[in-house]
Amino acid sequence: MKRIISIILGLAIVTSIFANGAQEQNTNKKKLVFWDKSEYVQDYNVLSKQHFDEFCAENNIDGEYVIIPPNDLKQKLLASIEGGNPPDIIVTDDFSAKQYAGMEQLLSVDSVMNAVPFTTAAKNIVQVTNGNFIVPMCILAPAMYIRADKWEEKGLDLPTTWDELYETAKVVNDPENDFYALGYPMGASGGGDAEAMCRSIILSFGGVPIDENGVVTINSAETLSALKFIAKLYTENLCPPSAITWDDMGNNTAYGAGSVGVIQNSGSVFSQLQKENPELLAKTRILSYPSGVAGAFIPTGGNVFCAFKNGESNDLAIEYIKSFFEKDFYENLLTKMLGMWQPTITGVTDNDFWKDPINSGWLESSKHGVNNLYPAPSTDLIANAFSEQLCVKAIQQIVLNNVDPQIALDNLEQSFKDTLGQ
Amino acid sequence: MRKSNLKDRKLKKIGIIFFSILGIFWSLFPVYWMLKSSITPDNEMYKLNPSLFPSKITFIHYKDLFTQTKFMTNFWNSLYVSIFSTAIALFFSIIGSYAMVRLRYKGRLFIKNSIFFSYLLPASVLFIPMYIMASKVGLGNNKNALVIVYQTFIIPYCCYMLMSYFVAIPKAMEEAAYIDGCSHIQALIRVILPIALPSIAVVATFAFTLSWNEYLYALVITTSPSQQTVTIGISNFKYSDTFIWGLIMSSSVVASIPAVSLYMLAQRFLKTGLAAGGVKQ
Amino acid sequence: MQNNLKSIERKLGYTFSFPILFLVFIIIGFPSIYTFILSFTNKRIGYPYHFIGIKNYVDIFKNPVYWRVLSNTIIYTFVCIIIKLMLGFAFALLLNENFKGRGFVRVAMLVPWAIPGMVAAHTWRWMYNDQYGIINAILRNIGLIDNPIPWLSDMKLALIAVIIVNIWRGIPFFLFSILGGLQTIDSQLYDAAKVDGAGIVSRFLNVTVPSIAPVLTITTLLSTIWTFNDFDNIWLITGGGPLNASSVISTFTYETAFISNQMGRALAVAISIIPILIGLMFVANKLLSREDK
Repeated sequence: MKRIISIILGLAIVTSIFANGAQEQNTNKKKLVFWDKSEYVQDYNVLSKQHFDEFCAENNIDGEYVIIPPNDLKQKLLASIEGGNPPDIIVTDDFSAKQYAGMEQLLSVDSVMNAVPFTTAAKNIVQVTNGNFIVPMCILAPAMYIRADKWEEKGLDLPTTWDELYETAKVVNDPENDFYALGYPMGASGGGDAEAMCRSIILSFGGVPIDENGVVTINSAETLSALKFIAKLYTENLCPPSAITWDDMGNNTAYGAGSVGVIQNSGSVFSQLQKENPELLAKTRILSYPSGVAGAFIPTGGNVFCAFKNGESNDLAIEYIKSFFEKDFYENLLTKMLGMWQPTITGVTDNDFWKDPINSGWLESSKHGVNNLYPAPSTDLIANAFSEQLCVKAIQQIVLNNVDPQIALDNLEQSFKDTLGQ
Repeated sequence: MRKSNLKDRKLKKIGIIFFSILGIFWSLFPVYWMLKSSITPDNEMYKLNPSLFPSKITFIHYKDLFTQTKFMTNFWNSLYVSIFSTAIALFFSIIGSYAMVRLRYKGRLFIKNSIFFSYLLPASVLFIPMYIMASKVGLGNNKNALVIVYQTFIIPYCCYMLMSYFVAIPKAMEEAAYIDGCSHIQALIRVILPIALPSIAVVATFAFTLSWNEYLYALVITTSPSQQTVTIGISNFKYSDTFIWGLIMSSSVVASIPAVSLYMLAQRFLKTGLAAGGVKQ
Repeated sequence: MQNNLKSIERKLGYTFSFPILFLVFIIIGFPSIYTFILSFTNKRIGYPYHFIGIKNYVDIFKNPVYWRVLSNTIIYTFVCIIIKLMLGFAFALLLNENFKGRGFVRVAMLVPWAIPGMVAAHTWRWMYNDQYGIINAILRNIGLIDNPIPWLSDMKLALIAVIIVNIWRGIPFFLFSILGGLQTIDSQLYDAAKVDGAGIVSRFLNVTVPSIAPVLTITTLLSTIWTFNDFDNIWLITGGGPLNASSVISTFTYETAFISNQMGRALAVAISIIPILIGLMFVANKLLSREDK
């Protein structure tokens, strides 16, 4: 008797759980699943959700809007691809998207690219060799933030070349009082800021990591001098000691705290300072990247849309992405981002916001960037080599393990070749 | 002789006080720091050379947490998942451990040893196939899937612990019950369970914490906030290049409350029954 | 009658252990088989794959990073367990004494175990920070150091930093397991030893340790497995960095699978350490079954 009772009890618990699980909506409506990126400026997620809900209501479909923090997206997405039920639409950064593009998981977005008037700069960001799979949502042009007050204090001109930056940084640097001239993150985790910066310096020193034919050409005297230059910024304590492992937030917080003099970042710091620390913003000058012998290269990325073939509603996904670029909605959205995002389409900058000199600089620099993989063709393997952050690891080897720069460069070349299968 | 004894006692007392303070400081300092950070205003959060005590106290992070975010939904989900997974794990572990310790049947040893298999692969490997299984049986993005998946690490733990408790209970007591005409199940319910109750309470507390703390499975298996648990809720306050430390710390404090209070409730059992042998007397 | 009883016992035994078998061989079994099979392929998520024999294993064994990570894992596990065991024992002896305020100390020392691991990781990461972290601030204010220590960015310190956090979290488990054992020791045993003229050390070795040996074994075994597979702690504090200085098998697997998207190879890494775990189990089983008698 007792046994029967306990078994019944056990079953009751189990069924109650499954019953709870069965509450899932069981309508015949089509379903659209949208995994959006969480943004520091909360207006974005509010407006984006509102727009998505309206779209779903108009089309009489069930919408599922989910905000996924960028750090968690990749694991979740890979699991869902493997499980055969990815979301319909995601928002992510351009170089992650390029990795997915090679998987043949993405829906062709030809019709979006044809229907929406994207700028050349925007098309440049999302271009991949095997077709149109990525839609540029916004450009995130980076710039150099510099504490003009600290430079003026020492009677220095603001630097325009890497050498000037290095020489003046040595003067401004004051670790005794917890002020470091530079705040460049060099951690291998995170969203790729560090790798982008390394490559930008290599390029402006005249080195080329991977050439336009996809051949690894990194092992050159130019790259060597670039690696030595970058390593110097850390070994000479121009950056805080932990900067060598900072992730993408390290420089944001350090700059916000006033403990570093220079960072390179997208507009996210700019919009954050506008909101939280206008005094610091007043002391800040926002400049273009310094240049080297080969010029200045500003690696520019952005947020992008992708749609998945194995999603439930392919057509609606494409329609939704198109609807995102409706002029009123899109124009309003960008102004809410306080300059942090620059448009990917023409005809939305004719307003007071972008005419304001404080924002027009961002708009201008968004037009002159190169994509993260420049000058290599955008294939998934090359994008993968980027996300492995090989250059960052080479710098870490030099700084943390005292590896000879030439040896580090030889190893770097080998890792590039291994990753690309050359 | 007496004098040196007195001196010894005094020395011992000082030792006890010293090490107690050391223990308290070591255990509670990070907790204090978490609490302190959760009531520090944003503009002081990144102060260089932070001081031990906040110069200004704010509850804005808590206000934001309760009004602006869906963290409390995550909280209730966690409670649901933890309570159910603990209850189910306890039920199956009690009968299973009892069988493996007290009943005689072929393959018993094999079953006992096989429990260990479940610890061979870490969650950081298993979570993709687990996700696939969960979505294949229609439990993708469903917190109930977590209740089932969490059994994979709670049951082995419970079985290990319970078996060692049950072994320690003298057989004579059950044999007396059999002579009175009790069946095995009656013996389990009337003899073993009452004796082992404190230990079971302890195991339950631990099991609850294990599922309350889980992160990876919850991350991949659940997607919408209505299904997600607290660990995911906390991790949602990390944006790509900005960590909202105020929210991370205040949500951490809230997330610590259930387990900590459970331990306080259970601590009178803890001294007798945290691990094997606790019921020997 | 006797036979009948036996068959009831057998049936009951199978019924009761069925859920456990189901769990081990179905719920965990399928993913394990999946893992095992894919470790022989060049699986990358989102791409077609084919079998490549033992190439993954050959590759990882040739990779110096793998050996570094494996040695990190062993150092991490070993150091953590030894220190947790020693400190746990010491504090258990302390709390086994009768003194005023014991209840409070007991609750206080339990808290680290009750705090979710992720919360602990975030808090410690925040405390370790070289610029806004309290640890460096304290060390500097009392004059021990001039410049902040980059706890999480130094090749040598990163592993130590995560070990400290694991120890912080893990001491209560040992402490309370051992305390439970201590309180079951019959005080007559001590008295007898005293009569025999045993000193405090000899009483500890001959009475205390043997009495709680079963507790020690099972506690150490469970904690070893947990420490060996520890993921959250390291991943959230250092991410395994810098340059794998603090990465262990579980974080390395995760990194290989998701950052590099080389699932096949990652699974081979996970499978490759199973012999170590089985060895551990074997030793523990030997110890436990000896004590059963």
